[in-house]
Amino acid sequence: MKFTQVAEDMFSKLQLNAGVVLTDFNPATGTLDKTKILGATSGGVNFTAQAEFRDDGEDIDNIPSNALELKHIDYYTVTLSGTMKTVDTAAAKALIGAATVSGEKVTPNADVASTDFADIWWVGDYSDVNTGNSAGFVAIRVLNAYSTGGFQLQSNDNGKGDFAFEFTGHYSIEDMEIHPFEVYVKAGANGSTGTTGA
Amino acid sequence: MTPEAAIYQFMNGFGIPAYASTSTPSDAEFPYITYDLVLGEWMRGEVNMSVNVWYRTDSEAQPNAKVREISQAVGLGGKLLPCDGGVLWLKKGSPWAQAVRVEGEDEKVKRRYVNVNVEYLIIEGE
Repeated sequence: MKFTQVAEDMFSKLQLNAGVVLTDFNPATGTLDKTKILGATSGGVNFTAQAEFRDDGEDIDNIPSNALELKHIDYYTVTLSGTMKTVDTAAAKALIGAATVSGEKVTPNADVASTDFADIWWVGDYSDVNTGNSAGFVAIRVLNAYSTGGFQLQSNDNGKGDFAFEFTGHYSIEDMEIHPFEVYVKAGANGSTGTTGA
Repeated sequence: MTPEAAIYQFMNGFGIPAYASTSTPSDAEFPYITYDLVLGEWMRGEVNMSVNVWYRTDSEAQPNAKVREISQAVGLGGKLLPCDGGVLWLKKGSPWAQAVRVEGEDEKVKRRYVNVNVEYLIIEGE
C-alpha cells in the first residue's frame, strides 16, 4: 500500500528501553556515571513539557483565535514522573524536597531552600548504535527540579516497594528566559556496536 | 546481511558451533548451540526464539557458564543486530533459561533451554 510506509532510517531514530534518572549528566561526553543514578525505576519514566499559551488576539474583534502572529508561550509546566523501586537517603531527600540528611536520618524542613532545587536528568538509549563510548542517547535535563509529588511509599505483600515520584522543573527569576528543560538527541557513531555475541 | 544470517552470526559468536535447529548435523559434536529460527515483522511485536545449549559433560558449570555468556551478550537492555532493512532487537525472555533433562541420552548430556525474544525492526524493500 502506498501510504503504509515508514522512513528507511526509522530504525536509527528509535528511543529504546526505559532509560535512567540521573542527578548529573554531561551530554557533551555522553558518559554514564552509575553513581549518579537516583534509583531504579519500574514501568518507564514519563516526561511532559506542557506550554501555557497566551493568545493576544482572543479579546480583539475580528481576529480569530489562534492567529499564529499573536500566540505566545507564557511558561512551560515541566514534570518528570514515574516509580522508583530503590531508595537511599539521597533519593529520599530528593523525593521529600525540603529535607536534611544526617547520617541515616532524613528530616523534612519547613522552608524550601534554593539548595533543595537541583537538576534531574533522564537519559535513554537511542538509535541503532547504542553501545560503547559513542552510543546514541536521548537526554532530557529538568532544570531546578523539585519533588512536587511528595514522598510516597506503597509497600507490596510479597513484592518490592514502590516510590512514586514527580519532579517539576522550575524557572529562576535570575533569568526568566531560561525554560526549565533541555532536550538532547545524539545519534550513535559508527563503530561502537557489534554484531556478534562474543 | 539477511536477518537470518545476522542471527546465525550472533549465535556463532560464543566459541562453540551454533546451528539452526533445522540444519543441525546428526553427528554434531558437543558442545554446540541450536536455535529455532523465527521470523517476525515490523510492528508485529516480539517473537520468541528458542535457543538450546548442549554439552556432554559431568559438570553443570560449563553449560551454565555458556548461558551466562549469552546473557551478557544480550545484556540488560537487549542487543541490536544490524541487517538488511534495519535491525533485530534481541531481548531476554522469561524465564531466561532453564535446565532440561534429556530423555533417551546418557546423563552426561546437559541441555539449557534459553528464551530469546526478537523484535524485527526491519523494513523490507518493495
